[in-house]
Amino acid sequence: MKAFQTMRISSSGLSAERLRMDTISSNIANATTTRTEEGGPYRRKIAVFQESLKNEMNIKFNKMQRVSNGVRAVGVIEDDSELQRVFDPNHPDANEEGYVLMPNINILNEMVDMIAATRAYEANVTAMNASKSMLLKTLEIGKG
Amino acid sequence: MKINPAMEAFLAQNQGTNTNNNDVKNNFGNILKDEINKVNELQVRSDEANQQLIAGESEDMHSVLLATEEARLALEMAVQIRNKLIESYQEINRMQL
Repeated sequence: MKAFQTMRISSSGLSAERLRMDTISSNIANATTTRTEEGGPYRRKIAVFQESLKNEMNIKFNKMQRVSNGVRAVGVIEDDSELQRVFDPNHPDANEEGYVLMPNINILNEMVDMIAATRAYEANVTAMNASKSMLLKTLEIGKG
Repeated sequence: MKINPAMEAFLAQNQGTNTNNNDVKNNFGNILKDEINKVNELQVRSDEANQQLIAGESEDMHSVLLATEEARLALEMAVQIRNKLIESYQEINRMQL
């Protein structure tokens, strides 16, 4: 139903922010991970989003047009920035010089990203509630 | 004064296709039935989403809540239309003969 389109768009935003939270949680959990399946230390993950459009019939002009369908995730990419080198000769993954390659994760950055994701999630919930109260208000037409 | 110009325009528009009031497709009862079925469909969808959430099969919580909200709004809309119908019925019932 077209009346619920706004709420569905907000819902796609909620899904997107959940994915962002997943990647941030993964980054925080793996902040000191030195081994991965591909070999080498963990690399920071970033969720990438794309505007989602869909075809819809415009009754007024009788033609198809692209309208917003919210946001969708295109995937999770790896941050290629430089890995940290930490001197720790006792570490099992240390090289001959005693240096260990650590993930390129800065916990502070991740915390800030997490706050941004939380706030963005809240914003989407607010938008969804606003559209819901608009629909409820519509039902009051002719009540008084 | 035309009491209901919108209705006349609507009738004029549909003159070619269905002049017959008893047209099976578009009679009032069928339209009502269709719409009630749509409302029911949303209820069923919301129910399924809730079942999936309880069973732990659901991907995310907000889509369950969205389905529930959609069902609630559709039902409230249906209730409002019912109120209007009953109101007009009562209005006719009160008519002096």
